[in-house]
Amino acid sequence: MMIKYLYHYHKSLITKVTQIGLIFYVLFKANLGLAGFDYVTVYPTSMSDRHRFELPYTGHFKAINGNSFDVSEYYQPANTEFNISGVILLFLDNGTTIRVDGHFDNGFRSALYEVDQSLSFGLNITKTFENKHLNLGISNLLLFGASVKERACVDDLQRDFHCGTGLPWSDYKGFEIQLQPKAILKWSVYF
Amino acid sequence: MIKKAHLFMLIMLLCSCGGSGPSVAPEAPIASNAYDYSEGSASTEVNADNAIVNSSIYTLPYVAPDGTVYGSVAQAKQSLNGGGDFVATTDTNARQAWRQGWTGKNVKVGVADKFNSNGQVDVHGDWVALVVSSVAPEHTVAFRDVLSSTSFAGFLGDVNSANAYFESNGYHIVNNSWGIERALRDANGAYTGALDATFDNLVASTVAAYDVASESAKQGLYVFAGGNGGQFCPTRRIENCSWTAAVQNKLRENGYDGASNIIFVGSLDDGTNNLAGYSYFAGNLAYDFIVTYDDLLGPSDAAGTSFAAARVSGAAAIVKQKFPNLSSGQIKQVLLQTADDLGAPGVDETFGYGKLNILNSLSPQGVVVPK
Repeated sequence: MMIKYLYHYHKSLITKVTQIGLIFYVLFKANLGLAGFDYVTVYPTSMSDRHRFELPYTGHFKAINGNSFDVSEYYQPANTEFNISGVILLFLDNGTTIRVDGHFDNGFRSALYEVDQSLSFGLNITKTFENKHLNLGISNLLLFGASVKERACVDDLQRDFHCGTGLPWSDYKGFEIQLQPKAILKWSVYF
Repeated sequence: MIKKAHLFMLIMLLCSCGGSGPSVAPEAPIASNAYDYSEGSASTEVNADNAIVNSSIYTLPYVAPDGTVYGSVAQAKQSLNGGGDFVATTDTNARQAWRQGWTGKNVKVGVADKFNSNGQVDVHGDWVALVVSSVAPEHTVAFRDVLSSTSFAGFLGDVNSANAYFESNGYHIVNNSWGIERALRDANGAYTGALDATFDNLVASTVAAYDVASESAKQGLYVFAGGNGGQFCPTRRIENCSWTAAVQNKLRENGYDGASNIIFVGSLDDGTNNLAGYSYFAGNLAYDFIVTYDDLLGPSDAAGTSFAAARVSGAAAIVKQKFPNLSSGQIKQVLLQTADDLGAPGVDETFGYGKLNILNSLSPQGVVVPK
């Protein structure tokens, strides 16, 4: 039954998350007793040894003089990449389920590009009417952390460039990680 | 000596000069942290194109150096380039710089040359200014006629007056597509094959009278045409053939580097990396020397280090726009050290630093590492 709540995740993660989530569910599920709730379930759904967010740059760029540069080594991680997801499920007495998705990322540290550790949350509410489910929610609702810091490269002439794009440093506008909130509205009827 | 000298002052269009002596290579301080590479405000390619078509001379009648008359500069551009860019825009890849927003905008370029204010583009200074605009169309220009005097003293006065104007009004770059040469010319500007016997005395007297204080105080970057008498001057070395270069060389021999804000420019044959036959060798001034192409509005329509120098002045304007806090000497070093090496590896006595490469001057060079 829990699997259906995993559809919020990115499509490519669904299978992995489902499998891992089921394992975690079995191993780590915690049912907490809280007043007003039928019961509360907390369990992790996925864990990865990779940074959660896609790197915007590879370190390969072509300057306006046509010369290609490969500085990919300066975009290699120097820290331990790690991210974990989990959910908190609150089953209310009246048949309503409140689900909070949580996601922690350990950040990314390289010579030219850094992302701070981050926490993000989504919220999902499901109301059950006999054989019907009304599902409302927003994924990627909140993001804390994940600030991006970048450093310039210097060339032999001690001039500053952005090594992700090859732009002069002063022309580079910066990069910011922003989760795209996604609203979910689903009406399901089971026969 | 002065009398003899002033005879060829009147016909000194398009050249420069020389002396001789041990090579004294100035330091190349490009990697110093003293270079402030803060970047200026970029413009746009559209603005660059608009600056060309809206310029006051674009619609004026154009008389080419070979005497061909066109109804306008626009018409000549169309005719000579098949509707494409000016040749200097093309052979310097300046348009790629414009696309990055570097068009020479608000950089002040002084052109010291021959002008006649007759409502036509038909005289050397007009042509030179057109080439500067072909590379850096949004620069701010001022013209000063320094080649109309009938006496050497008058010429020197005009040059000093022009430079004083440029300096006091904050001109960043001063193009000098003229020179005094050891190889003599006739009244039409053609080389006679004779050499000026007073040349060395002129150099010596200039060095003796050199005002170190006032010359050192100059803020502008002075771009000089290398000179066109390569086939008529013994050794072909610029310090032997060009007055300006000879003076700077002699000053260096005397322990004073007066050329830190001077660039000498030689010419390449069209479409090649071969030094033009008329262009002097970099010689002792290899560390102050750069080469580039020499056409005026279209392919093979003209030749001369005058038009090569104008390209370098335009390039300097582009670099100055991008790095407005660089001094003239620093702009010179950026241009020189981003040039394409030609001839013997490294700086050599033929090509100096090599071929002007505007895009290199704006692109990362060498090893790129985190700051």
